[in-house]
Amino acid sequence: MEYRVALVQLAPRLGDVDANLGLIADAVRRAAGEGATLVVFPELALSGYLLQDLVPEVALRADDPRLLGIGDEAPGTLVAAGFVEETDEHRYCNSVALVRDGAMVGLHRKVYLPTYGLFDEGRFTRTGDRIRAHDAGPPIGRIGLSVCEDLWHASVPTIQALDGAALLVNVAAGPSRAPGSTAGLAAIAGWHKMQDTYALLGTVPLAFCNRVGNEEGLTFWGGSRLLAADGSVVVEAPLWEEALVVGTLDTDDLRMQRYGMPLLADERLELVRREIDRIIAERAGLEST
Amino acid sequence: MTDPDLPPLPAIEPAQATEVIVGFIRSQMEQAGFERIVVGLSGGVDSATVAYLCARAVGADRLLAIRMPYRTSSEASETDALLVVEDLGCRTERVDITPMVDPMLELITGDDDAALRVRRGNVMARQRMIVLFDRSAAWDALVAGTSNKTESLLGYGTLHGDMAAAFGPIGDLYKTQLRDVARHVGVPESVVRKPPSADLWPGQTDEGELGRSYESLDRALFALVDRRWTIERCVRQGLPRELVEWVARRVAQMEFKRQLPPVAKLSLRTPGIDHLYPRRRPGSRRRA
Repeated sequence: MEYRVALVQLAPRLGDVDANLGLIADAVRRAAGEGATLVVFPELALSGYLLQDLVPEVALRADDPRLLGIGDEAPGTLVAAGFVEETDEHRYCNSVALVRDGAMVGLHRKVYLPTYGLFDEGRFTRTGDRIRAHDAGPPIGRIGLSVCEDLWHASVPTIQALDGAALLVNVAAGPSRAPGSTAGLAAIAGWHKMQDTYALLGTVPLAFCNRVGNEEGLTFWGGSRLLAADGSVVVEAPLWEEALVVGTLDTDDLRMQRYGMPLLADERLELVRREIDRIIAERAGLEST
Repeated sequence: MTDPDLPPLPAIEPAQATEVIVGFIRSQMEQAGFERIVVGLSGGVDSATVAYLCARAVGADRLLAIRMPYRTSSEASETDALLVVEDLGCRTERVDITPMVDPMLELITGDDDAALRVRRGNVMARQRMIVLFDRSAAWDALVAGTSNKTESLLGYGTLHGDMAAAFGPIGDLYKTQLRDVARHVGVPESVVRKPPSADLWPGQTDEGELGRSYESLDRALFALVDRRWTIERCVRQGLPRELVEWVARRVAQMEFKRQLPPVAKLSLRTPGIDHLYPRRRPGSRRRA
């Protein structure tokens, strides 16, 4: 069965939730017009990225009607978008919500907050502690949500694929480094390599939506992509510019890919867990080899 | 002659760098709520490149290029600046800083000629800053900075002088990279090729004053800063020890020029320490 995925690489207004809700509503309307079953927005699409001490000012509860209503322009459509979440315990997380018809279908809190080089996320937000796939019902089935840096850790897409994800969705706010140089292009090539690899090894389609625009001195590079379960590129958005691209996936492709390459079914989870338990113990100095 | 085994010069892809910088300039204008830019045009490649980038970003009719010669400034500088202005079709103004600067220079005396030259040069650079910021206030514009990464890392600029600006379009481009971007945006070849000079006294050149070529400085800086090489590794790769040690020392000594002055922390929240906000946020626009 075919379904369409829209990737909206926009430039959120920093700190202006109301303005961003407007941008999102407008894009959801356009994507629905293109027949999208799922519309994906970037990381922190509701707030912008370089928030620093604006974090508590732009944070939303997961049950905030403004958040749950981001798909109101398109009944029946799934919408994924990044936002700052304030939990019941007042923990501030870099989260992505998957909503449909005013209800939360899935919520992921960024597990890996980059706090090195040009990144300072761990200073202003707290880490999530769940890696799951969320059941979105037919036609897609289970969806594995992640946020940007999460995907630089192979454990995240691996666990989600093993948890039954029939689609991986990564929302990102990737600032370019050395955009004018070969080193900068190599960073983008790194993103491409790992996306191709995760789709191929997870035998799972992957939607990557990266923002564009500038904040202070940072320029976000866009280049959103939709990959099929064999790792091939279905649709790709341009670098640097705002864009809404739509691609079609077919659940039959996933079915036959997993028959032809039963990697997930063959995965030896007990073996993996045994070895990981051993490594954890050794790292903690609890056991010798 | 370049030795192929030396640590490389930083590469740049000029079209992509231009696109990023133009987007950056537009974003800076948008976030502050301004539409016009003022830039000091010396006739050199740095300020010319900034003028071309700003004209791309906001349009030549919203760019005011101010030429600010002192009586000893070279005529070639003025000719080159006019060449840029004519090619761009931007607005321009000539402000002779001689009558502003000379009364101050008369008060600057001493026995150390080298120190005197630096002090006089600083007065000129700071006077130009005063003119630029005054014109920016009068014309409702932002001042575009013209410092490049080589100058910034080496501290080869005047604090509150040529280093003062609202934003820095070329601050992450080494001098040798900047020439590629300059050609890409259409800076006249005569401006790109001429020896860089602050033109603070007759016959001054940057490379003469720094005692090293920009090419060797950029090789050392790129290795030490961007690639995080140790001094020993730079030397092993063929860079002269004297050069690398001088560059490393300069970068450390000049750190103060690249940061806001530290504040003695007393309260629970202190700007710059734990009161941290992006410049761009709701309410940040200074013009409607």
